[in-house]
Amino acid sequence: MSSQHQHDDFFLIKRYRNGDKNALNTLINRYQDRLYNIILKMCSNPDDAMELTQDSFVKVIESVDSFEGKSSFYTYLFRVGVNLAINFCNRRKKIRFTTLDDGGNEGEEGRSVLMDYFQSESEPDPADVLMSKEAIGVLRSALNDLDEKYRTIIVLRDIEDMSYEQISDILELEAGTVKSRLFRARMLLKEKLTPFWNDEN
Amino acid sequence: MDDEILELINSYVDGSIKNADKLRLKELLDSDEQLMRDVKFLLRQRKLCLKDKSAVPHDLSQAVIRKLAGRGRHNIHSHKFGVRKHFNVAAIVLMLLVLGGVLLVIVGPFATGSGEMRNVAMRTKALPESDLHPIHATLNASIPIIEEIPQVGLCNYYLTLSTKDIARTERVLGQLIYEYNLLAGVNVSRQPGKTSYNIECSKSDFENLARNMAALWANADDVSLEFADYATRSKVNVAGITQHQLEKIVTASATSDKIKTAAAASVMNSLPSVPVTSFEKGYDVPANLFTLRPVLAGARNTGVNKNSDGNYVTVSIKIQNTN
Repeated sequence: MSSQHQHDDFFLIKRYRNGDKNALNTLINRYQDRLYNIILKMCSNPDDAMELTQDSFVKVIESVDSFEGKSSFYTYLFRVGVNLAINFCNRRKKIRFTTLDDGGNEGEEGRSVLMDYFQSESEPDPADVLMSKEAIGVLRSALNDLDEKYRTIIVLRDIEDMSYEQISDILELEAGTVKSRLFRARMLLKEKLTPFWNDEN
Repeated sequence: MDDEILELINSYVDGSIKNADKLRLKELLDSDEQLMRDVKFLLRQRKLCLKDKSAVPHDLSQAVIRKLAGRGRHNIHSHKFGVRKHFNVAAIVLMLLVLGGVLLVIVGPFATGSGEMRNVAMRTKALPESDLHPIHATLNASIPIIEEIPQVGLCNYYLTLSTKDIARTERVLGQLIYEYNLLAGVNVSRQPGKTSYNIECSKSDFENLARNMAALWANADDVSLEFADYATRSKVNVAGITQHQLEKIVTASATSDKIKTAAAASVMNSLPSVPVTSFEKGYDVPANLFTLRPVLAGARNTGVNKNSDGNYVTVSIKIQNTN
């Protein structure tokens, strides 16, 4: 995130407060996709994700006066969003998990799709398989099965491709903790997906 | 696995490995077949993750603007107080005891399902005597157990609480908010010097909070509660009272109470029968009534009765669990 962008972000909020709604549109459009995507992966429900994304923007815009500029607007926004999502997950407890062991047709389809993907001996062009909804669906189920702190870090690093520094800022964790937690999270996710992996291959 | 190896694998998997480290990693992988398989799996797992993108709903920015506009109108963000910081462990234990008592009081009458008049707040014996007011509670309802209220998504609900006694109210409110803050992010705001609070939280937390607050302050003579759901209040909610009922109530009200009664009833039930100007005005008028409407999302019948003394209305609620 460039410093120019950071400067722009606060300027846009000021413009909005002076009555320029387009400024807010610009600001929201700049970050909404990534924020929504992160929150959706964390809370697994599009409606909830939509609400939480809105709430994140509202909270940040309203509290920007008390923001001391210790981090970028981007970090601040995503920290708020992630914390809202974590709180939400903790509260609900009963997020609609679909475990990999649920069986049933959907599970079998997902299993088959991932088997194709993981079993290929040659390095496959993953586009066909990976873009399939079933493969993504199985991944999401596995993610949902992870503890919230591991899910969060996978979402930030492996889904949203944020830098370690950004993750460290957003989660307010030491860089070393981020790295070790990420590794642990990846291995846990691997465990969830391993049933779909044919070891012979 | 030591930190060095862990970092090497991490950086290799996400493509940030330095050239100088590649040889070291290759040596490691060549000497450990299982590690090689793990890393191969992790690489492909990450590729799969990177593909998992979702489209954002188109109307997000407009929804944010609407929310900001709604909140600005009610000065939600004027003053926030963080209660959490000011409590110690002993206070937490005390609050848990108090709230346990409160919940027992609330659940008790709900569980019986009888239609007799219930004095909810009289049962809050776990609260310090100083926090209880003379009670004239009349929650005359036939209320079955609501095992679980459907979660239809995180919504913002607003509760306006007006009081004459800020210190006491803030203390009790603080206990409640703090308790729920352990589970959720609940924001409380009030304008400096004003005696009304705005409370914002998720639907599920709101439901719990509303139950507790209603029990604490039901018909306390210096506190009035109003609940409003910004997400739906602009819609017609036919689950509430009918327009005919509302007209009867307004007709029967004293002249000075007509507008207040109509506006409050309209707000409560999201009825379109009162002009928007009155509607807006009504929301800001602290009427002497409270409603559990947001709590009772599945309510099929509600009614508003004028009290025998003619001074204020109470709300009678009949609920059917639609789960």
